Amino acid sequence: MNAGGQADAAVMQAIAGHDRLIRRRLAVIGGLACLVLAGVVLDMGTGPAGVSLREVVEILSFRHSGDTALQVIVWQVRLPTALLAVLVGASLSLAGAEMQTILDNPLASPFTLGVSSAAAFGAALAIVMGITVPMVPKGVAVSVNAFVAAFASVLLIQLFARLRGSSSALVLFGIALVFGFNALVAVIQFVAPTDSLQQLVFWTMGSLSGADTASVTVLAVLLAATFPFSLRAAWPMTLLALGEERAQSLGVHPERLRFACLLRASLLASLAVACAGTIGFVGLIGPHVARLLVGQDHRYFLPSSLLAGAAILSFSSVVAKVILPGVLLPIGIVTSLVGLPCFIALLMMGRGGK
Amino acid sequence: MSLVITGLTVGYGARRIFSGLDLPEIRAGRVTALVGPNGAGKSTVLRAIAGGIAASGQVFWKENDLLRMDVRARSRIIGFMPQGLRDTPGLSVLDSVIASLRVFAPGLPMSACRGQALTALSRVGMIDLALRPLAQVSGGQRQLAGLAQSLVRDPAVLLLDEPTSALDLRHQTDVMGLLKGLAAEGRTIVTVLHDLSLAANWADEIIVLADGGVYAAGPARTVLTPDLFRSVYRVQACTGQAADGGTYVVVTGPLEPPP
Repeated sequence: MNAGGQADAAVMQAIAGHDRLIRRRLAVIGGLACLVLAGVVLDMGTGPAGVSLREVVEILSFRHSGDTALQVIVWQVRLPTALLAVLVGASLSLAGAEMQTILDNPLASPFTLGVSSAAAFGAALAIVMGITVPMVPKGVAVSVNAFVAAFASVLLIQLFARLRGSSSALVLFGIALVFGFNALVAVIQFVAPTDSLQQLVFWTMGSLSGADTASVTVLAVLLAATFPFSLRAAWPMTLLALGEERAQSLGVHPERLRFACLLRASLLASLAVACAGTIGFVGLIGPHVARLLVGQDHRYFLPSSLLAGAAILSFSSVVAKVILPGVLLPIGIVTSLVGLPCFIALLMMGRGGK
Repeated sequence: MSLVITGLTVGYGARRIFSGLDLPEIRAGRVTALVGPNGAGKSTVLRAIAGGIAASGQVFWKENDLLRMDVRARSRIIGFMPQGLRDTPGLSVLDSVIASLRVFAPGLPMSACRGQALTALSRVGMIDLALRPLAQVSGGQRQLAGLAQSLVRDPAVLLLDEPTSALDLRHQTDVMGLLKGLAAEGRTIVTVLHDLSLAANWADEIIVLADGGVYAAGPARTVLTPDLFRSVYRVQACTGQAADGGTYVVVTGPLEPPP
């Protein structure tokens, strides 16, 4: 074969190999989607009320003509809880993935950047001190407070980013926020009466028990509205993963990209935390799992992170129901307990993503 | 066409590297080598032109001041290949080149994008490693991937920071030959080089930076003199002529014994 023929053969080989790579990544995304679906089904089939999976399927497909109480349990408890698990997991993980890329730090997540701590502070203000956003109905005052505080903390981070551009300084500032808000929450806990202290502690453990149509709808709409923008930013984010200066020399505006991503991530994380309390590790582990599976091409990395987070929280929700018979453990405890060994395993695998 | 740099002031924090630096006109269709001792600011000049660090002054290209241009607009004219590229986990060499083109030309169909990326990789001799993750190729190969990321956008000006520093002799020759070819197509090529023999043989023009300014500029035979080696590099050295007409630089020792 002459040199030209060899070059053509090499190009054809690269195209075929690249097609295989793309198919594999799409298969991973498909697999994760199936896992999420399985998680939702399992989540809906588990619970203290003893509704079987068959009955759940019948009720959801309007083929169940029996007990109304069962219908109420499935439509008003099981379905919103299972969907909220998926949406909160997806939101936190997508937020974590974007934060890790734009801050160039694998430890960045809504939890480590202080968003969750700020939300806890906002919730504490409402639960213990009764300080709430004016005109907000009492039933959602804690969630609204948590959202406002979490969003305010990200605005603080944004402001800091404007003043001191470097991403490492930003991560350190986020960690400082964690300690700052934790200290404020501790002060409030110290002076709190027993009943509100119990309520606050329960809130900070994270729970899906507050799931209802409103919270599911709001989070679903936000996720559906922001995810296309995330996908649109996939190429510049891939270049940003090559390093800030490199990305800039290739026409990416790091500050603008960082602002837009942080805005999306903060909205998602704030609302997710407001709906379900502080749930750690999902925002950290989800992106790591996705990176191990599909690498750093953000066209695949972002959807994989979203689905990995959704699957993790969905299965955590199942574990929270079955680990102690008759007791519904706060999901934040389960994700941390499940997340910790996962995180250590990832650290031990070290350069697995390469 | 030429790149005209005047009054370039740039520094890191409070530390000024250059204050009002004027460079000789850098012409299109030629390979210009920036040489000088460590810390002379060679990479800084390239980074300032490419927009990696803030700078004041003027860098004119076709009556446009690149320093006043938006990052995106500037990247349409300039291709910059930095010294080291990071080993991004799980991103293939080919996908990194496609991403570069995709940000540059968002409307281009994916198949065309991939075709152009593969052409760029063929040009730098990286086609066989196209599917390898960036983290699994050598430092030199990563530099070549970086060159393909810039080349795929067909830039009018190509700035390269020590493109041969991590390459073996054959690949050094290939890259310098490629740069010569790119210059012959009418591009402006500016490359930082430490290897003066390489500069002497491949560059049409050499600019020597030292002590915050331009020490000398011109073709190799007028610039690379024993006096320059003594004053700028503090070594005893001379140039010689090889049998095939090539030029080499021989260093015989330091000017003064090391402390």
